[in-house]
Amino acid sequence: MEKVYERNKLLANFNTSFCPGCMHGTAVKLICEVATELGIEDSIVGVMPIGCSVQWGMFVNFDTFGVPHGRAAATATGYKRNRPDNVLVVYQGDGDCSSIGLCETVHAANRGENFTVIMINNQVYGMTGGQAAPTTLPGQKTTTSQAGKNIEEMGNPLNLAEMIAGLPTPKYVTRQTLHTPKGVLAAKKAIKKAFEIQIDGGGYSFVELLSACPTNWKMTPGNAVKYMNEVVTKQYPVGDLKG
Amino acid sequence: MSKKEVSKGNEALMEAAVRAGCRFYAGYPITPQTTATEYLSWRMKEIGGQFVQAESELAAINMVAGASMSGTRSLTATSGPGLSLMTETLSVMCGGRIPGVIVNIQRYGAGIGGIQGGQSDFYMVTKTFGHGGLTGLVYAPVSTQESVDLMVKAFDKSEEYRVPVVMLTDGSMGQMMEAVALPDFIDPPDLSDQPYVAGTRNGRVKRAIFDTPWFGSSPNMADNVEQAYIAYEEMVQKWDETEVMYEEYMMDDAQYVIFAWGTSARVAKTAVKTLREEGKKVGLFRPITLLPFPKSQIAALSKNKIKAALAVEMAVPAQFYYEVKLHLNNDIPLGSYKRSGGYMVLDEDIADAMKKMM
Ligand SMILES: Cc1ncc(C[n+]2csc(CCOP(=O)(O)OP(=O)(O)O)c2C)c(N)n1
Ligand code: SF4
Repeated sequence: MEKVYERNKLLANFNTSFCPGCMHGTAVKLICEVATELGIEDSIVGVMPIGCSVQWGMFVNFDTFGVPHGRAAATATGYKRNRPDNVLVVYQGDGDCSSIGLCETVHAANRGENFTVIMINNQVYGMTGGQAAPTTLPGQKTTTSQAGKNIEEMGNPLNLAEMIAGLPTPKYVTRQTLHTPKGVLAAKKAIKKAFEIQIDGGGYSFVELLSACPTNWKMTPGNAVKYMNEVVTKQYPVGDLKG
Repeated sequence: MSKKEVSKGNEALMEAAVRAGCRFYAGYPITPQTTATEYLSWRMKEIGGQFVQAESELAAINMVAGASMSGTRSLTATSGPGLSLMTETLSVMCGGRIPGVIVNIQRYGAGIGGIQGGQSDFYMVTKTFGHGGLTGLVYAPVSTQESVDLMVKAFDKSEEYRVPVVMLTDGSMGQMMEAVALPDFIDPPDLSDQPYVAGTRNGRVKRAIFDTPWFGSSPNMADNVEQAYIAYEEMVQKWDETEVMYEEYMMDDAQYVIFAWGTSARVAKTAVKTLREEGKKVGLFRPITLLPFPKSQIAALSKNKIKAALAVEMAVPAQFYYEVKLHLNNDIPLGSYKRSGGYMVLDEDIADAMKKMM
């Protein structure tokens, strides 16, 4: 029988521990597929942030290193400046990247560090049990906004990709989504473009990926997809913002 | 060793790091560290290394950790408030067994304190590096010469034990112009095979470098963590035998001992000389490593020989005093002379304080 699909060699040979309907797993798979297609299996290195996203380091067959909560872009700067030939993927949740780590995120982007940040935007703090994040939507119920997020108190959703696209230095800034097959294909294309820019020494790229957290949204995976279609993508429009 | 030249303490120390093979520096300006950062901003480029003016001390120490995980000898320098910001990452570096050298050019006081020299960061670096209770080594040079001499060792030991090494100087040492013989240039070592270095695969199994040692010989993560921390404690305990450094000055026949470290010890030495001229049998005991602390050496001082002792420091409330007291024979009375607010300890005041105990 002809083999038409096999598990990517960069993915560990066991199941991930992400919840059913979580899209972290899809993002990790896309990174591995792109790395294989670009032939960078031996030079790709990943940064493990703090959050559910940290687990990605366990599920890939290439080197990864851990960093304190939010500091990924700084640690990545120190690493990549000294290993310019490796392809560095800084994988972060929206809390890690846009809240506690916002300062490091923006400054690395502004310096044009030659690495790729992939931010998973699921609008909550996944790992700590679904508290509000800067990305949480107006009115959204979380464990720290139980009556629904009040933007008068907690601020408007932070559209980080738009913020970064407003800086002159970054080479490529995009927002894609993982909730439709079409979205996944486009996300893969975006990751590939970002890696290619990095391989050519082109500079900083930022890929925001909309993702579901059915566990903390208290939704079935099916309803989470519907919600992303009808609500999330309205606040966070999908498409290239720069480059 | 090159011939002696006159140099500012901070600049000489940064040049010593370059000569020790350091090729990455990240720092955020803070007085009295600024001249160190300014020096490396051009010097690193000249030598083919990397300099990053970080957006904060939080970022700086993480850049250093990242550079270490690339296999590069890396350094940051800061002062008290900046060191406070770095502590989470120092804890992470201990846990993840990631090397790096941190120079803390101390200023006095809590909070923003003041820019004059002080020694009030003693507890902060000798008890635990951030949360979690793990520590690295802490060096406390008395002069620019000693600081540059210790720089190569700081990198070597940091890599040998895979822990951060902190060097404590202070504002006055950093600004002082002194004649100093700098160490010879050494080539940066090849660290690419070290277990804390990522992205140098060449066929070996993949590395996941993480601050908590969850993975090990047991399928049970809790057991792996506990075992790793037990091994860590054993390593730290061995340092008491292998890594302690201290100086004794006129201690052979001493009946009175002055304990002091860093800049205070330099002033205390003058006090010892004055008291000796007056015929008083006084000696100086100066820890060079604050961690490991020379515990057994202090404990070995005999009550039959030593009648009284004085701990001198630029820290109020006292810190070093209590550490000496912990190890010194209880029958030896120990006094405390200390200054803060940016005031230097004075040799005549040290001599008076010691004489009061005679
Ligand atoms: C300094 C610090 N503060 C708080 C935490 C607790 N913490 C762990 S993960 C996390 C939030 C992660 O959320 P996000 O980045 O959105 O990632 P996700 O879990 O959704 O993938 C928090 C607050 C921590 N580990 N360290
Ligand atoms: S808690 Fe949310 S983000 Fe974390 S694994 Fe589960 S679904 Fe994914």
